[in-house]
Amino acid sequence: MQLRKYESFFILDPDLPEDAHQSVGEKMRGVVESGGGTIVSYVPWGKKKLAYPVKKKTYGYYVLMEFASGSDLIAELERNMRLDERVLKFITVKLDDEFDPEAEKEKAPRTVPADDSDEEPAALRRDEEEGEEDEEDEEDEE
Amino acid sequence: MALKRKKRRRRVFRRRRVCRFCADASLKIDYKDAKTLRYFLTERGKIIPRRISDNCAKHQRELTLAIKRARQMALLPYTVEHSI
Ligand SMILES: [Zn+2]
Repeated sequence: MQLRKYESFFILDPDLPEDAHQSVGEKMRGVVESGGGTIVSYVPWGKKKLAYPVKKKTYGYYVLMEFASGSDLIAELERNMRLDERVLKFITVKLDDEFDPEAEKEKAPRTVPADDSDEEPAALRRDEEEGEEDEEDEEDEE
Repeated sequence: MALKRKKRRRRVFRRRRVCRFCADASLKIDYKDAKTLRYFLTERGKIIPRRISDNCAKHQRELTLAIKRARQMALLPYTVEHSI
């Protein structure tokens, strides 16, 4: 079985108590591990404001989980996410076609990124003469 | 694709700049990094076309995918309503 590297980013109901957040985490890690996968990291990002309301909630409790597994496990993990009322939204992204445990050891431990509510990165200062345009070439959402 | 695109009449002079992601390798495209992605949205939340942003085709593609994922995860809005 080819192990691939994935990440699941998901949003939990922020109004649930902390132990409920933890038990969703245990459940999802369990789904990965009982399907022959390995958890690489599990980092709760905590409560963040949502860009639009989701199931009447204006905040969400974000969690990022990196793991290695076969591709067949993804449907099972996503089925569990979809059926769990405590999960508001989720996305699974393949990070690598091959999981390399040795390369993983070299990497810095995963942490919650700095809050993104402040200034944009210095490399991205907008020039003054550059105007914004409402454009026509945006594609439809899938 | 039969019709040739009409030549643009706009005579606005802009400096020719390069793609920011090509110019700065430390600038990563990540759907979870709303702060960076937001820079490539208009005030209404639409994606700025690459003729304005000067992104190369490859990075614009990656950026568009990242923005769509960020929207899916409610890190970015689909649209921003204006109260005028
Ligand atoms: Zn580029």
